[in-house]
Amino acid sequence: MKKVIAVLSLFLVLFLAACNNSSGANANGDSDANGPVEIEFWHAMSGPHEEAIKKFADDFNSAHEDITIKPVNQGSYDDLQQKIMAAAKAGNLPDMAQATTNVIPEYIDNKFITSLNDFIEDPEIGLSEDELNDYIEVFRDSSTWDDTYYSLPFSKSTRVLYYNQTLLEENGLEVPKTWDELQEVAKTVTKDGVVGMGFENSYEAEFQGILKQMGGTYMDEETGEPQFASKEGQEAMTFIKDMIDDGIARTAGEDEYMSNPFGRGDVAMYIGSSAGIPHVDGAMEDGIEWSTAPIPTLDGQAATTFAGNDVVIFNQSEEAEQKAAWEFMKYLTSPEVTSEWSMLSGYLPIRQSALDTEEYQTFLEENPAYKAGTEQFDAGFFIARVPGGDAVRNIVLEEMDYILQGMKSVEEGLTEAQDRAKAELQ
Amino acid sequence: MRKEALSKGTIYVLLSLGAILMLLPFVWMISTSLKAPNEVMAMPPVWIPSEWQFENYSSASEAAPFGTYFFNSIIVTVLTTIGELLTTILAAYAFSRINFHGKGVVFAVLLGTMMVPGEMLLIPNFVTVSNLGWIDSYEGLVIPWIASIFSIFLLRQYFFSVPQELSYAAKVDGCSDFKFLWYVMVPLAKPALITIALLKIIGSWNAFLWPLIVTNSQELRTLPVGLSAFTTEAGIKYELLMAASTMVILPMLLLFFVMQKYVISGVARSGLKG
Repeated sequence: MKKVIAVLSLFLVLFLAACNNSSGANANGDSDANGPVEIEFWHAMSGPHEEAIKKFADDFNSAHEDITIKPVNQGSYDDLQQKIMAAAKAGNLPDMAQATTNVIPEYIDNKFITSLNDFIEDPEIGLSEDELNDYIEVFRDSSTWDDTYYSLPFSKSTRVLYYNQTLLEENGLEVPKTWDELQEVAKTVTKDGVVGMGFENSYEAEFQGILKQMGGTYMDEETGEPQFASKEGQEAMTFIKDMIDDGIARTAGEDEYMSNPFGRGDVAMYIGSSAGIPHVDGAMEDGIEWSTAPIPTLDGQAATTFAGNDVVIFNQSEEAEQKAAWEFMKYLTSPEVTSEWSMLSGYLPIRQSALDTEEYQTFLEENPAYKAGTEQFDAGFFIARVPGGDAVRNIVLEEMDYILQGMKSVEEGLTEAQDRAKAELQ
Repeated sequence: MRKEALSKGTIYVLLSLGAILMLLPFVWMISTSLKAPNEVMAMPPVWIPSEWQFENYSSASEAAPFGTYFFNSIIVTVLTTIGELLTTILAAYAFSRINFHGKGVVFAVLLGTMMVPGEMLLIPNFVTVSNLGWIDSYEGLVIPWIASIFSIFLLRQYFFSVPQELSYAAKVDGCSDFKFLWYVMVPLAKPALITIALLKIIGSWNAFLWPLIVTNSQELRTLPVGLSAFTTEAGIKYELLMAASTMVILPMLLLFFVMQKYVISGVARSGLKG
């Protein structure tokens, strides 16, 4: 036993010594003065999405001799965020990363994110007025803080209404355009074990949409003050609750994602993320025709949330590296790449000109489910970008559960959620 | 006699129920790993797939470089286990048999560190490892994990149970502390050491957050990190995840079957003597 341990510990020492040499050479992306600039790009995309990002990096690298992009998957969005905060403290942030817009204020406060205005306005490497305006407005807005760009949109999605075409046709029904119509349709098709309407377990997005349509505010971004327990908020919540109480709507519940019951044909319509289209496609049982439509309006008043991830550049890198990262950022958000990315991933194209290309139009004709998302840009707004926004979301969802279970009235639940959210944000 | 047989029967019934309960998740994992995507979440649950999808295993293994991940997991597990055994044996001996100034205080401080939750240590540890230049290296994966206060405590208690007379006898024969430790204490503490090693192997094999945080390149990542490849925003590809999990868990199951005797005797014996 002693000999074995002695030999093994020798092995341990030698091994660590050996890999010290090999890892020392390529540690952390610092490149030689002569070689290409190496840019590390942290993201949270896995599976086919990660493959697509690798391909974009390869294409970019072969077109740029002096830059090498190294994409690195860092697990889930939470893992990525945790790692960015740790790396910021340790002073070894990557050159660029994917980031949800609600964490960016934290990056700004801690001063480790690069403002993009200097790059954008640069006559040589910047974006022209036309190019900048080609970015879709709702995304541009969600990437600026007080007229300063801190990010550019990358993987963006919106909410869309999924519907079971076969079932609606059997009942001689049209796709609903307003909430009144939706209620009617849901009422008619709720029979034989089918429920008319479905909400994801994260249906606070729908609550926000209806609230906005009613003219209310979910959270004031300037002051960071939650305001959803207003009269409008209570009406919006009552609207959702009534549908569920009447048995014409349900939440995903134990099914986790609405795509499961929808795919089985147990639910005729549901509202979910447009990024879920490829997933729904996989979950559908044979023989069910389906597609998507824009979110219903409140008698013509449209509003729906847009969410997703942007790309950011960090300021702990050398200027040359930040510049190289900017080049890749421009490339990732170029019309060609964003349309290819959209067709591969189900995320929305983030440039108007990408939508207008013949290639994308053909794609929409062949895949009509992708159309709805792009038709509601004008109705789009984004969730208040407040640090701690995720915690508020969990509080709201928890209180909404109490309301749906009848443990609290709509007013009690929302007021309590608002108070708790205020305490959380302080 | 009859009464005894009856109670034995009851015990076996209870044990069988417990065994079935423990086994269910494994059965569900294997069954899911062979299902088509639309059967995974079917209601009522499908236990036996209508068509066995063995290709789930090949598509799962192609989704990420699992060969590299397997290699890294084995390297990290083996190195951290050896490292922890070495530090634990030396420290436990010092704390149980050597008298030095401030021994009680040092030991109390060490025990006190056990009260700090691991999540809180994540960022400070990351900063330390990063200042040492160990980000994205085997050092970063291994060295922070080669000491465990819990193991030191466990082995110290075990060492206490070894009669003091043995060390007097050894000293009379002119044996040094180090020799006494290697030739007398370590062989006597084999069951406790095996328990410590097994706990370490399981923990190291399953570790997720640290390997993810401390590495950046695919060449250095471990199996649990690889499993996150099947989680996407719109849902989890359970059939592939379960196929990959089955492959990942298999070595641990085999280890358990082989070492089961030691796990149980380790716990039982140390309990009796302590």
